Amino acid sequence: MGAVRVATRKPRTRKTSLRGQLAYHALLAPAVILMIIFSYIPMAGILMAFESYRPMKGIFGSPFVGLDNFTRLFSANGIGQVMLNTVFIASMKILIGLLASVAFALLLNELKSRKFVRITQTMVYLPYFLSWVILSGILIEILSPSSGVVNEAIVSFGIKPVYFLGNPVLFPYVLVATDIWKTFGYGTIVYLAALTAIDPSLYEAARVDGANYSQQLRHITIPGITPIVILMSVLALGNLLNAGFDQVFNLINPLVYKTGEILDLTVYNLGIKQASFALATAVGLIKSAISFVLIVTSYKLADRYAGYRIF
Amino acid sequence: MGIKQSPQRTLFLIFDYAFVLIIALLCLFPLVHVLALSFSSALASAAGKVTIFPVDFSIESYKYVASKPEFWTAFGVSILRIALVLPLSLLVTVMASYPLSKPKHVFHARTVYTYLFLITMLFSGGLIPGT
Repeated sequence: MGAVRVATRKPRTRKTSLRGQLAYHALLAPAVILMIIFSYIPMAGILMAFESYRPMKGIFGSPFVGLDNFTRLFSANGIGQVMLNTVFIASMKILIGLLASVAFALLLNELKSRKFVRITQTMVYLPYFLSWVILSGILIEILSPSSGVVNEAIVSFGIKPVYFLGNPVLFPYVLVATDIWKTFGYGTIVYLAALTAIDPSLYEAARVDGANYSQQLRHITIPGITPIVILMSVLALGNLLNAGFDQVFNLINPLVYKTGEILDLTVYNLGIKQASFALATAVGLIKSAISFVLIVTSYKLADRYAGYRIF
Repeated sequence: MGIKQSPQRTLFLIFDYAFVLIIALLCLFPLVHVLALSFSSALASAAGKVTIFPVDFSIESYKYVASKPEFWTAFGVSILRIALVLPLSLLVTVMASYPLSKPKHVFHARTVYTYLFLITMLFSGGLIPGT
């Protein structure tokens, strides 16, 4: 492109010209090609959910059976229990995680020593960087009923050791607690940033007017972070069926399948372990469909109550 | 900072510092514990004597891991993966995000592409490999 031509034309017409548009398309091309190969073509696999799938015949050769896979799922496999586990674990993680992050951010915000805040912030953020594969090894070790530190502490108080990862009643709560332990530091940083963004002159004005600390908290701090809290919780709604495959996969054992099995694990067990590809795809499709509704709803809500839109 | 502080405020701040410190230590404890275990002798860690400081300091476990060829293969694969994926994915992402950052009257097809990307975030072929 010659510099002369740019100089002779108005810049605006050049940007909207066909050639300018083509440059934009060309820049997007690598990403779109990758996406077609790795995301759009595999979507044909969704057809398996409606077929009696035989790997030998392939996706387009297997007999079509309509909704048979879905009726089989709902009649036999205890999918209701799995759905219940998933929603229970995920919603507890979202709710308690939110409360823990906000509470911790508020507590940190009151402290004057910047150095102390920075150090503790880094400490609670640390588990976020480790993968569940590593963390579950650590957790299995410290929660072990025979040699774990936690149980040694419990025994020293004269209480019987608790098998945290083998007790079906406790297991979902262990999942929730360990997930919060891992992720609340991240949320804390988000909310702390929102808290620091509140205009200090508001606090000064409030103090001049004689507001005490709890009044400042109620009338400045809480309203100041409400928009971001609403936004984060509304966007979390889309994850209601994602109870964390990595975590559950690494911590679960046969003793706690009844209360610990989540949808993603069912897909894995049916599809990879038992090679019932059609059933696994049907479970995955149900999950995608419900998630889709949840995500659309949450974006609508985010737009209405927090003024957040991605388009 | 106020010139005078009420005693309740001071008390609150003391509790606040203590609570935050305890939570932070709780977050750090499992990681420190495992680090201590890794530097302890096999006997001491099996007996459950280790809490936050190594007992019978030894680097036996590290020597054992380092002597395994599988470890170095896996390590090499990880490094290679990062070295390749980081620049390539950065390039593709930056190239794709520049046109998407343009307003609609500058880049007309922007919305089409946004939806194209969005759909892949919502639906996937699933965990099961197809043909």
